Amino acid sequence: MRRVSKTLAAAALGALLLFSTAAWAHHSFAAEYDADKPAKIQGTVKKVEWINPHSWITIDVKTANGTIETWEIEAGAPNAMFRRGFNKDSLPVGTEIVVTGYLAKNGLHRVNGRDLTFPDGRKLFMATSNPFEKEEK
Amino acid sequence: MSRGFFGGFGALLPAIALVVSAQMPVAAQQAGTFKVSRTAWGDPDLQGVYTFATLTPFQRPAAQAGKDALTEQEQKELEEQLKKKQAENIATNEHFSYNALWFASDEGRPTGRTSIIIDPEDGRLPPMTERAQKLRAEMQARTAAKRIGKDQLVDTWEDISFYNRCLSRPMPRVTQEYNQGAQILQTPGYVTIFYESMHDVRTIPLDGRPHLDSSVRQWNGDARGHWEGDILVVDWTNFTDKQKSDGAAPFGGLPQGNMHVIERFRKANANTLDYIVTVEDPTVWTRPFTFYLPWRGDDPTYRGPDDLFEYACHEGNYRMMENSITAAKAVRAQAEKK
Repeated sequence: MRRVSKTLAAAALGALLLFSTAAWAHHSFAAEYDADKPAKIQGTVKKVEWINPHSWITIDVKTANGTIETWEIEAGAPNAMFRRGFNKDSLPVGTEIVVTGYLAKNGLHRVNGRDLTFPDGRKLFMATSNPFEKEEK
Repeated sequence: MSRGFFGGFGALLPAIALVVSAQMPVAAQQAGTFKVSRTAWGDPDLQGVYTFATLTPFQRPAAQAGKDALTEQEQKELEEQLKKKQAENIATNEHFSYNALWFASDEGRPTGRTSIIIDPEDGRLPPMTERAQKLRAEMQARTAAKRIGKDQLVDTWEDISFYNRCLSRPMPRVTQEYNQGAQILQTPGYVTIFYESMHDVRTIPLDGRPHLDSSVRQWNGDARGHWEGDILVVDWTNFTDKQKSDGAAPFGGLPQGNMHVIERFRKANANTLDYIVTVEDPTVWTRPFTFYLPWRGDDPTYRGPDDLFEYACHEGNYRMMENSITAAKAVRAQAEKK
């Protein structure tokens, strides 16, 4: 009995994950970014734009020769991020972050942000899933 | 027990009554005993802020063929698995494009069923008509013609769907990754539904007036409502062929001009609004289909109207267009060099 429901759950899960990938919209990843060009960059937060359908995080990156390059990171929908626990205090200007993602095909300094961490490896805003939790209790 | 949920609906939709088994979502089971409150003018009161986020797939996965509902235990296990999988997804970062960190849909709950579609009985969309198959094949051919290697090219804004351009989103709303909020407001003679995504508003008259002339076509169609007991029944027509989804379920790429939708809203309990929708379009589907999607009124991130954020999607979407078109130019330049 138990095994059956586990199989079922696993099957449902597979289908769900497939589904959510396929239905992602407002943003044609394949048109804009190159899945064969993963990127990992580190820099300090310069600006966070809370705009639909996707937020943007601008960071300053120090290059090997000491110059500063500005990079733009495409992030999630503002309210999706907010409901996940991300708020205006999560990434103050000057915060150092590491971004992994994929490079834009047009060669501009743009990355589709897949993951954000602090330089010591800690993940950002993973622990808080509900921004209203404190208030509710 | 099945009468608990579809008791009222069953009489109206015999097909659905047949589909429904003894295993029903908890909210649905309570519907039989729940007494909906009334507005000051005596209509059933459906008002509130809801979310229709769910983790239940629109169509039933093949692995679950023959099984339409989950037991409470299975539902619990599924929710646990999904939570775990989501944490893993963020931790391991092995997800194409965005990982789960950016999605709001995991805040949704499974409906207790194995698919949102409840009719046909197999939980799958019915077969498309020959016309629809031809249209879809043409659409796929157009897409294929805009591909160089693995690159899908966007040479002009017209290569991007209305939805991806933040202009309009197909109705009825059923599967979304975020912005699944909605608010229902009632006044004497009208029900208004506000959707967070695209900040669309539908004002539905209840006075029995006829539909707009069939020559008038609207992106969000033309809706007329009436009460059948405690159920709000909405007849929805006059959609436009301009409206096409961009390939996502359920209406992927198919024109909506001949679509006829019947929606049924019923308060199942204090926190749940049952939403049952039948879609028919004999020029696209070989038979009608019906889906069930509970709207939840107790989600802590949708407490009230202030939690329905202003969308301003088109305004914010400028980089998508720039990125897509300049990417296509770069890919074409690269291809010419070779």
